[in-house]
Amino acid sequence: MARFHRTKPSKGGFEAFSKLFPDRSREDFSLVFPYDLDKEKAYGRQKGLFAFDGERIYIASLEGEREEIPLDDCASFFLQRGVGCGFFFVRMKDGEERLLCRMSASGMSRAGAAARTLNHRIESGETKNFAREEARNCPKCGRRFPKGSQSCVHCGNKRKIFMRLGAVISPYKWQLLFSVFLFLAVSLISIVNPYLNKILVDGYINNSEAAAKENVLFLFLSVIALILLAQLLQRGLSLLRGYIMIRTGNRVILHLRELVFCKIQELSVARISKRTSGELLNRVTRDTGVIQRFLTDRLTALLEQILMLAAVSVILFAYNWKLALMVILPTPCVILSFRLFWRFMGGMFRRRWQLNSEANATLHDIFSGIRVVKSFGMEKREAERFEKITRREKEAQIRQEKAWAVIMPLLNFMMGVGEFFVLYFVGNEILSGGMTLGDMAMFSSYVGMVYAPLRSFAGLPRELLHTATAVSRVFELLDENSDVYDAANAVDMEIKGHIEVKNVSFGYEEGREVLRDISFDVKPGEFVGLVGPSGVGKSTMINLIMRMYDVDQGQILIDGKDIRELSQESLRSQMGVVLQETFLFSGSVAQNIAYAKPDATRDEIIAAAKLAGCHSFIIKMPDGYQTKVGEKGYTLSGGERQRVAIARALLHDPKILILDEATASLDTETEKQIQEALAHLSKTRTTIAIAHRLSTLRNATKLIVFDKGRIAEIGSHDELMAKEGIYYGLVLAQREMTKMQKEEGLAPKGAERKAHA
Amino acid sequence: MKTEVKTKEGVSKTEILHLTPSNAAFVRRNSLLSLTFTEEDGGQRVEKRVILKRAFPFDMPWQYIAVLDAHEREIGMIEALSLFDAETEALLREELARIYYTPKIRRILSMKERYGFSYWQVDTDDGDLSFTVQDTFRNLLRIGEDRLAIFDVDGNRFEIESLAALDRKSYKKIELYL
Repeated sequence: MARFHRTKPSKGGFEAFSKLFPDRSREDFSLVFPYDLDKEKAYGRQKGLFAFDGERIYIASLEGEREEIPLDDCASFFLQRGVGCGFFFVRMKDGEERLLCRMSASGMSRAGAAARTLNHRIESGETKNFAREEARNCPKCGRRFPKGSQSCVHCGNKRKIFMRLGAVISPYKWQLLFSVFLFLAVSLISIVNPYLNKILVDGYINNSEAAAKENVLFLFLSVIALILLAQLLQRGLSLLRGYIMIRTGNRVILHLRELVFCKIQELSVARISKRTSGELLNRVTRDTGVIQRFLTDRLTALLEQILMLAAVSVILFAYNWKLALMVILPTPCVILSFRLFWRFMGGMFRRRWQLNSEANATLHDIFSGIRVVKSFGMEKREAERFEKITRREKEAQIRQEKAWAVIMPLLNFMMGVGEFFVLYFVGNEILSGGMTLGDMAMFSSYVGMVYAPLRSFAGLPRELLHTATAVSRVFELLDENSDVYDAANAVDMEIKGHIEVKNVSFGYEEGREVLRDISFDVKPGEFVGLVGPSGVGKSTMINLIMRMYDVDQGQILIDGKDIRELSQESLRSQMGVVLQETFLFSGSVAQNIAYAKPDATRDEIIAAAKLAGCHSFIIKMPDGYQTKVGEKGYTLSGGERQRVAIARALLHDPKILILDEATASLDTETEKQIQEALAHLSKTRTTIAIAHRLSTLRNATKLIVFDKGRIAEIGSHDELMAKEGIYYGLVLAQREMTKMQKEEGLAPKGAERKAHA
Repeated sequence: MKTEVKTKEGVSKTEILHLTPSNAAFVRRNSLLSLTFTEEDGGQRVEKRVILKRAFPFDMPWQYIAVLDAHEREIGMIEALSLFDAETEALLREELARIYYTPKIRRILSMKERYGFSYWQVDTDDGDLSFTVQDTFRNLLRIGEDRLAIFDVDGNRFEIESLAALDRKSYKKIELYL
């Protein structure tokens, strides 16, 4: 963890190397990983290295621990996971287990990879490094990278980040430039306004000499007309600008959202399931919104305010530098206090926001589980739970509003103080005849113009930070490489349906293999059943065949071609999947059945529905095939949904059909019907099915029995029964069950019959 | 009332196999915790390496401890470590503390949040440590009113045993996330 982060992160804990192995060079070792905990005592940090030089393993720590074991004495290595730490073990050839070292959770993935590397070496004699050689800390600042990301949010060049934003808005640069130009025009006019006012006051209202001139009325009216014109122009241009900004803003955000959304769809299941859907939702909507607001509103406004501030300052100084200084002097104070204010309020705002989203999450939680709540009669307790969280939110809100109400007027007053000084000095000047009333009117207008942008500048750092966070989050996602990707030479191929699985090993996490050394062969048109207790890797196997994940070791071939050489689109478009958890999109039943084949004719849809055994209940619904299903639609039962999903897969007409507990929620009778339909179809396609109810697999040409991540048995039903192995045990157990059910169910009937006889 | 107690006992006897000083002896050999278990029929079973798991790690760290064999199959459950003699209790406590490595934070030296990550430097009962937490609000877990568990990006765990006992400076640094 920890220690290594800050001191010399780039070395990942290897700084001790030269001390521990003074007479060896780093190249001597094919494998080195650091460990950081005392293996005997619960507490006690150590700085140690585990190293392997091809023949012997070495464990050495700066605290004086030292051990050497020849690899020839070792049978296997394994990592036992604790909580917050891991234990690295070796199993010796004589069966004895020895603890080699212990490390905090930070070191576990490397240790897990090391165990695999060493085991592979013992089993096959080859040295293959399983460590994912990805740096986990930023080499520059030593901070940890975000999970699954390879860019540091801190050192990620900020200018570069904003440059990339430039690329996003470049198609709209003319619109944006035009809007900046309009902005400038508006501000110029607003600068002219106080000057016109001054002329009005000094020249005509407060001037008895001018009143004597002949054409005074005309001049007076023309100044007023000028002021009116300026106002009209200002409003008109603002209106135009607003229109342009909204238009371009919407386009920018659409563009950004499309980018993010497409990227999310491209990512592998592994990368997506790492994040909650709420988080992804936020990135698509909120983060892009923040960026859009910054780009279109703030950026142009900022430009305008800077220019305005500069222009007004110049005018003020040119007019009367002493007065100007008086206006400018308090500004650092104002900026500073605003910054402090924002920092103070920022925390409060965030807390309130967090509590708010927590309250929403609680609400969501309760509503999704409303049936459970009601069935256990826990409405009152849930109401209390919700009340508790809303009360916390309320308290945070009151606190924040209070602070706001107290501080805001104070700050505004402070900003006004400068104006009082101006008033005092200008008043004095007027009394002594150095300045006119018009000067004063103009000056106080300009002072207002200086303070307005300053006020918004104070909030700027926060806003920049906010935007930078959103930008880095969005770009992090855009930059993320899907770990399942199409090879450069990926091909589209017509699949016949021959699947070969060769020595496949796979684990979702480092050091935890779910599947080990799996090999089997499925001929085109075969119906293969995967059998075994839950949690042995059957669904994982199917995920691998669909290439939702890439195998760690070995190969999966379809028609003799590695699936990694096929384009994902071509692979999956020829597979049909029915999962236990079926998902129907909002839309009509017909649309759902035709999901993978939108141009299907009505005949095809009905045919597929009939095959899947859902025609009969669809036709009974009031809206028939146009019944709305999904989130807000008609609620289908679990079995009905499953049949619709089967129809969807059948209409898709895949070369490979995958059924993962697809018929689990159907009664045996309906299942039998579907089985027959499937049997009829599966002559032309390869089918792989997982089922716990073994009768589901009665048509299978081959059964593969999984046990603890390995294949235990392969063969037909009869072969496996003859073998009396695991499958035999499963069948017997289920027979026992059905017998029991039958006896229970039939007993009264039998009694009745007897009575009749 | 009486029947309820009866069923409760019945369940506990049939469902949970209790490990007590009378049927279980723990020893530490070569940094492995081993168990000699006496079956009801008097037969002895020796497990060279057993693993301890807490059933209620936060609320009852020294009670309801499951004992698993090397293949992570449950052998039985220890209802409370205090049932054993002082020496064994100390041994089991040490073993649990080894498996559940959770440095207790005594002082927060610094805690800075930027871009959704927070960077911590803390003083713990296992020395000064620093770590990184992603999505801070979600990775701080309140246990009861006064305790706080913290999970970092790697899966390390830290704990503040009592928020009330934390010095004011440290508390201020995390107050907003509570």
